[in-house]
Amino acid sequence: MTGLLAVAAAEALLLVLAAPLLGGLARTLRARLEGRRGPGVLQSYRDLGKLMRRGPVISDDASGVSLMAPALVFGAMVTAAALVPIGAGWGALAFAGDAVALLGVLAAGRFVLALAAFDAGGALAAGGSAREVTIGTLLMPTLMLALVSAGLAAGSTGLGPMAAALAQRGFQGAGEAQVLALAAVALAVLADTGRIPFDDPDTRLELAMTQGALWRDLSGRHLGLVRWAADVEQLVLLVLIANIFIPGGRVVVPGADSSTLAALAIALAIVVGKVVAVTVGYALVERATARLRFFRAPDLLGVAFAAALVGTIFALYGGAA
Amino acid sequence: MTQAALPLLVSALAAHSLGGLVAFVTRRRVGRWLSDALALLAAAGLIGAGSLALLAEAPLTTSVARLGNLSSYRLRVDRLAGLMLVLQGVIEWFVALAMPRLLVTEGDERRQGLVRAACHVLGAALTLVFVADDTLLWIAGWQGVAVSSFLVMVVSGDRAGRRAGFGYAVITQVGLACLMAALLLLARDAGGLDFAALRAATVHGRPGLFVAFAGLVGFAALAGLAPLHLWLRYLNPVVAAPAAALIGGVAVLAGAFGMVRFSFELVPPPSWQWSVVVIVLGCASVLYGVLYALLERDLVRVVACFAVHGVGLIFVGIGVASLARAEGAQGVAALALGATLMQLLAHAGAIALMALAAGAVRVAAGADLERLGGLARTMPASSTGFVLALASVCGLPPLLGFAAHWAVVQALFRGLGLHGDVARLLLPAVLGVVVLASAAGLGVAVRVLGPVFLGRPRAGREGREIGGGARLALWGLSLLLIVGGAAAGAVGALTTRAMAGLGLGDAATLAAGAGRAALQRTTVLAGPATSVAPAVLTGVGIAIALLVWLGGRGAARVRRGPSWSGGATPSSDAQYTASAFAQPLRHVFRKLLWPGTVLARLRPGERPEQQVGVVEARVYVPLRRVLLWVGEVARWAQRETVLHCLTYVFIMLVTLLAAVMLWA
Repeated sequence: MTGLLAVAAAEALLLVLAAPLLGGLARTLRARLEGRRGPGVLQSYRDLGKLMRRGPVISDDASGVSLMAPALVFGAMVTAAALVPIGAGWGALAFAGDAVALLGVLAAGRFVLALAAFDAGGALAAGGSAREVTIGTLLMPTLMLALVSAGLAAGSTGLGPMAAALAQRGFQGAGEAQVLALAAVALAVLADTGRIPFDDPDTRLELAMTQGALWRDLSGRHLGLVRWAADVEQLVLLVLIANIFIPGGRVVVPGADSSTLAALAIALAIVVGKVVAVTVGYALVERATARLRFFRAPDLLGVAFAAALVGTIFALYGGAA
Repeated sequence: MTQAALPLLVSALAAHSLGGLVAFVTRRRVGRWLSDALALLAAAGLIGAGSLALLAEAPLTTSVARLGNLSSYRLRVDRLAGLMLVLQGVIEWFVALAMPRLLVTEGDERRQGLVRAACHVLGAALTLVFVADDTLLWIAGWQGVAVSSFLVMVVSGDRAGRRAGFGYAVITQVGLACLMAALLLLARDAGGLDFAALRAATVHGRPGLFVAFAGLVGFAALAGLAPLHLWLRYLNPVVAAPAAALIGGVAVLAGAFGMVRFSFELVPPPSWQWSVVVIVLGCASVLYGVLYALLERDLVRVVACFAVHGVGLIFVGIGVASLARAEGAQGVAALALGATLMQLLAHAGAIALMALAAGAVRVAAGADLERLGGLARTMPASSTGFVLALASVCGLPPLLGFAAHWAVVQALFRGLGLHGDVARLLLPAVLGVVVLASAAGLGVAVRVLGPVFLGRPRAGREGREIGGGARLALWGLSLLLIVGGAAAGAVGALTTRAMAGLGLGDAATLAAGAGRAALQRTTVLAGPATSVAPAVLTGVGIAIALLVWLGGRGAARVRRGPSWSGGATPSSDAQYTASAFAQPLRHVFRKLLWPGTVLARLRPGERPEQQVGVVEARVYVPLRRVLLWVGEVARWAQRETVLHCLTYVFIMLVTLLAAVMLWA
C-alpha cells in the first residue's frame, strides 16, 4: 500500500512536470497542420524558465490577493493532479477526495484567479474574468453529470473505482451512454482549456479573449506559475478523459497480483498514448473550426450539457436492462 | 446530568423575556448593555441545553401547564431539537456580540431598543418552535416568529419597511393558516392536539394529500421557498444587519426544521407526487436564488438571494429523502436527510456571516455595488468573512459548505439508483441544476467580491472596519466555517446523531467509516464506498502554494508600479462594475430571467434595483390584480338592501354546501 502511494505520488509529480510538454505538443501540432514549422515542443519549458526567473510587477492598488493568488492556483492544480488515477489505480490523494472534490478543487483555482483579476483595477482583466466565469459556470454541471454517469457503473463517485470499472469492462458495454458522456466531457474540456471554438490560446492582447485577458495583469514569476497551472489543469482533464471515458485502458489496482513495475509501465504507456491521441484530435478540431463569437459559445456548452444529461439517463436505464 | 437541559432552556427563555422587556422600557446605555448581556446569556443557555439534548439517549419531555382539556402544552427536547438549539445559540451569540456596532443604521435609541426587543422575542419564539410538543404551542411559536420578524421590519418607520413588513405578514399568515388547517385536520383524526397523538395518527386518501400539501405551503412560506420567497428580497434592505442575520440564519431554517419534523414525524409518509413537488420547488429556489443574485445591485439583497438558494438546497434534500422513503429505500433516505441537516448547519453559518459582513460594509460605505470598491485593505475582517461565506455557500473546499454539497451530491447519486422512472428521469436534472447553481454562485461571488473589496475605492469612499464585538463576531463565524469544514466527519456524526429519532432505522449509513483511525474519524466524511477529507486536500494545496511562494521570494523581488490598462492608468471610475461583470451570465440565462427580452432592458426612468423578478411580475402582480378585482365585485354585496344581503347569503350557502358535498 505504501509502495503504491509512493508510485501514485511519483506519477502526480511526473504529470506536473510533463504538463508544459503537452502544451508545447499542442502548439507544434497546430503549427504543422497550418503549414508552419512552429516553435518546437520544448519551447514551453524555455518560456516557463524565462518567466520564473523574473520578478513580477504588481499594481500599486493591488492587495495581498495578487501576491497569493498565483501560488494558490498552482497549489490547487497540483492537488487536482494528485486526485486523478494515472497509471496506478488510485491517485495519491484518492483517500481524501473523489470526483466531487476534484471539481471543487478545480473550481477553487478558477475562483481565486477570477477574483485576482479585479485586484489591479484594470477593466481588461476583469472582462476576461467575466467571460471565464461564464464558461466555467456552464461547463461545471456537464463535467459533474458526465462523471456521475461514469460513476454509475462503478457504484461510487470515487475516481479510482470509476477507472477500475472501465478498465475491467473494456470495450464491452461501451454503449450510447458512454459515447454521449465522452462527447460531453470532450466539449467541456475544450472549453475549459480555452481552445479554438471557444478561445484562441495563441493570441494574447485581444479583447475577446478569455484566458489571455484574465492573465492580463500578471507578469514574471506570477504569469509563469499561472500558465504552468493551466497546463497542469489541461493535462489532468485529458488524463481524466483517457482513464474514465475512453475504454481500453489498464489500471493497476492495489492488492492485485499484477501490481508489478512492468504492469505499471504498460498502463502508463497506454495512458500517454491516449492523451497524445486526444491532443491530436483536439488539434484537428482546432484546425477545422473557426472561433465562435463569445455569445455563441453557451449554445455549444448547452449541447454538451444536454448530451451529459441524456447520457446519464441512458446509463440509468442501460444498467437496469 | 442531561436533566439539566430543561432548566437551562427555561432560563434561556427567561433571559430572552427579561432582555426584551429591558430593551423595550429603557433607552439608557445601561439598558442596552443589559439587553445584549442577557442575549449572550440566553445564547449560552441554548447552546448548553442543545448539547445536553444531543448527548442524551432519550428525549426529555415535560408538561408546562394545562388549560381546560384542550391541550397539555408539552415541551420535548429530542436530538433534532437539540441540534437546532445549538445552532440558534451559536448564531445568537455572535449576533448579540455584533449588535451594538451594527445597530447604528437604525437611527435613534428608541428604534434600536425596539429592534433589540423584537430580536429577543424572535429568539424566544424560535426556541419555542424547536421544543414544542403540541399543536397549540407550535402554532404559538410560529406566530411569535412571524410577529417579531414583522416588528423588526416596521420599526424603522419608513415606507419601504412598512411595505416589506406588510408583504411578509401576508405571506406568513397565509402560510400559517395552511399550517394550522393541516395540523387541525391531523388532530381531528388523532383525537388529540399533542404530537404524541399526531404521530400515531394515520390520515390517508384525499385528506392525507391535503394535509401534506397544506403543510408544504405553510413551511415554504415560513422558510422563503420559491415562489413564496419574495419577502426575503424585501426584508434585507430594511432591517438592521443583526436582525437580518437572525432571520436569515435561524428563522428561515426553522421553517426547514419544521418541514423535517412535519413530514418525517407528524404525518404518515406522503406520496411520491408530493416529494416531486418539493424537489421541483427546491430546484426553482436554488436556481432563482442565484439568478436573482446576478441582477441585484444592493449588497444586502445579494445575501437574501443566497438565503433563498440555500433553503432550496435543503428542500431538495428533504424531497429526495421523502422520495426514497416512499420507495422503501431507508438508507438513501437517511443519507439525504443527513445531507439536509448538514446543509442546514452550513447555510446558517454562511448566511449569518454574510449578513453581518454586509451590515459592516453598509455601515462603513453603503450597500450599492456600483459605488463600492477597494474595501479589502481597510476592512480585512469583513472582506475575509464575505469571501469565506460566499465560498462556503458555493461549496468550495475546505469550508463547511463543501462538506454539505458533497453530502447532497452523494444523496442524489445514491438516489439515482432508486427504482422507478421518476427518480431516474428527475434526479439527473436535479443534480445538474444544483451544480449549475453552485457554479453560477461562484460567478456571483466574484461579481460581488471583486468590485466591492478589490481594486480602488469608487466614489471616494474608503470605509472603516467595524470595531468591537462585531469584528470579533466576523472572525468567529469565519473560523467556525473553516473548522466545521475541516472537521467534516465530526459534523457528519453530529447530524447523524440528530436524526436518530426520525424513524429511518439505523441511520449510521452516513458514518460508514467505523473502523477508521482517530484522525480520520474527525476529518473524513465517509459515504458509501467513498470518502473525502477536505482538510487534507486544502492542507496539501496550501502547503504547495507556500513552498512555491517561499521559493519564488528568494529568486526575484516583487516590484510595484502604477496600474496599466491599454495605454493609460485607469481612473477609479473606469473599473469594471458588478453589472458589467454579470452581463454575459445574464445574457446566457435571459430566457429564465425574463422571457422575451434580450438583456433585462430597463424601461425609461427605471433603476436596476426597481426591476422585479419574473416570479413577481408573472405571479404576484396578476394575483394582486385578481384580488383587487374580486374585492371590487364583492363590494355590491355590501350595499345595504335586504335583497342583496339575502342573495349573498344564499349564494355563499350553496357554494359551501357544494364544496362540502364534493369533499365528502
